Amino acid sequence: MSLGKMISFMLSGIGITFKLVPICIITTFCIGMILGIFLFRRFPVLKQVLGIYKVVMRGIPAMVVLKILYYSADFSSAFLAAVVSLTLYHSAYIGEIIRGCFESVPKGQMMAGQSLGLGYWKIMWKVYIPQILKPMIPMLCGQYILLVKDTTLVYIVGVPDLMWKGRQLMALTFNPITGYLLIGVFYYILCALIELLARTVEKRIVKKQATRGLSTYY
Amino acid sequence: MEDRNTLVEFKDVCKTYKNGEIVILDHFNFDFLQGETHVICGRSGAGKSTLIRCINYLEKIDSGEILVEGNTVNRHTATSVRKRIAMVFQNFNLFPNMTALENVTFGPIESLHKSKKEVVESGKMFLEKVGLADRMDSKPSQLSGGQQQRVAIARALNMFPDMILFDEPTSALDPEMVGEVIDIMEELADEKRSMIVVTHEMGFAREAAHRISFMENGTFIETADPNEFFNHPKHESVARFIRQIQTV
Amino acid sequence: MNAVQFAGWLPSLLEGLKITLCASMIAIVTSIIWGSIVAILVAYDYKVLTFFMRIYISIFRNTPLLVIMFFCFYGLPLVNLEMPALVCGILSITLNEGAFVAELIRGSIKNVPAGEIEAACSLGLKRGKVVRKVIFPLGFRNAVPMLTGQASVMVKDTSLFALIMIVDLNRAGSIYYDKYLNSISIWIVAAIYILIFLALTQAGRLIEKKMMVRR
Repeated sequence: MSLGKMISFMLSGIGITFKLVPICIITTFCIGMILGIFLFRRFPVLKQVLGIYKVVMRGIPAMVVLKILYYSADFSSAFLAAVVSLTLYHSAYIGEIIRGCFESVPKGQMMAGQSLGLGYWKIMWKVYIPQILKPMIPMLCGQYILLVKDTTLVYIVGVPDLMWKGRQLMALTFNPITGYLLIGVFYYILCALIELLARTVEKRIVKKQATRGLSTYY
Repeated sequence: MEDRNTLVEFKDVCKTYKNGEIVILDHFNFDFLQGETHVICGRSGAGKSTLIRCINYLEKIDSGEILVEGNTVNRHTATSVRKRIAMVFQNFNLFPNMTALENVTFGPIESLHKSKKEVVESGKMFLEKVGLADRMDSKPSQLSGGQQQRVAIARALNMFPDMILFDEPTSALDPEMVGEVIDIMEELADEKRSMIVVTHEMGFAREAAHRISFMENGTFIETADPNEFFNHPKHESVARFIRQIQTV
Repeated sequence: MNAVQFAGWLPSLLEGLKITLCASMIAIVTSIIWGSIVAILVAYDYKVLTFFMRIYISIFRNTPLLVIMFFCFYGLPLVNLEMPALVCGILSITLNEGAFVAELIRGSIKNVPAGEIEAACSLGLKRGKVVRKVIFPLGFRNAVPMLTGQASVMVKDTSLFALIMIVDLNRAGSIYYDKYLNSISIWIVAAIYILIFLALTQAGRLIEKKMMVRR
């Protein structure tokens, strides 16, 4: 089979990946934002519950989360199971990142807001969130790179994504070197683009002076 | 004044920052002599620190030549020059993961390749000299600023250097700790060690310095012995500087 | 789940647990060592060397571990580089996580105060010694909290071993499910992963306390 044919066959699986990634980015961001606010606010009982949720998701491998959900719950499609499990898994991390961003805002701003007579949620919405949106991007990008890479796991429950197609192809061609190289290149490009976005935003935020490399002393 | 050998020689040295926008050294020529305590003063930003950091190649020069004991300072000789010229920093810069004694013995062991036994012995002696015999096993974080700077001086001494560079050694200290560091530096000056000291401590300059230079516009505009410098400054800007210091 | 079924499954669970624990431990050690070597090479600050290390870090951070693992497992034997599945898996984790570890240590090396590096230089140490004796030890200590976090990621990484024919903890869970179509086994496996995570976190705290540098 020619390289061109191989590529076009595998491209038929990319559609799923391109659907899965944006959906999960949106869901994890929404849930992560809510989680982040709750973690930051420290509601009495909710705090403990979320703490357990965090430990569970940090402890269990993404593949096991996927398997548990897929085998235990009755999903209408494997794709849905993939979305739900990736969302559950990565939201825990995103929530923690967003909480960290909230913590980095000086405490005085909450007091300043309150002294102006604004309510808690108003301060969150008008003061905190606008401030953290930009510095949040590089950190979120790091997590989203992990998310993109975790989407390679969804083929195990039968989602016909790039990895699935690639493995099908390799069963036909017995050419795993080219096959996995192609898959690797695809994911590399996708993740490298996200990394590039992170770097660009990071450069804009921190205008710190460049630290001197060791070579300047020798 | 008796004849002294030149230890560090600046020959027509130029240095600028930011592509020539800020001139630090402008065709600077000077001889620093052996066995002499040379104080450099001047306004902040005059380039005093940069000047002495050029001697041990922490800063590169744009043109000209710096000679240490007759040898040019460049990237190839940097390490051997640094073995002979020790430095004491404004922020002490002790290694936070090592005890005081380990800090003092680190250099001689790792760069001079001396035996540990010998180095520990001399290290203890120098820590005793700076009055920290009882704090040898303390980490820098457990020491006060003044104590840390004294350890840093012991670290410099234990290299048995030909010269010690002091880069504003008391500027980062709380006022009540300045004295303990100055006392040790005066002791070293009395021992006729070769020292170049960048400092704002005019008391030290008056008491211990053999020569004082005032730095401005990329060069020493005045160099004199303490008596001459404080009582009969030739330049108006030096006189103004001394007046300002004394009113503070 | 009845007792007979469970008793029949227990040996493979224990075997899987053993594999996961051993493989994780080895992978954590090799990844941290390899990552440290890369970080040290970057810290030397030689242009060409840094350039190549950056390429390595970029490639292996941005490629899924599963793809690397499949490439090693299915691809390399075709060029006569055959190795046991376990070696293959650990090698893949090392290459992948080594890049992450290198990046973490590189980041914390950047935060070592310039003055401490200058102090080491001005004692006349050779460039390599400044890196190995001062910059790396300080950078590494600062990175310890992040490294213990990364170690728990590596434990989770070993769950991918199930896909290259190794009976690890994850695969052990599936064995029971495949036989009795009962997902309870996967819940048990998940619980064990959480216990491993908690133990690792505790161990991490102890190490952090010991290694922390006060300034």
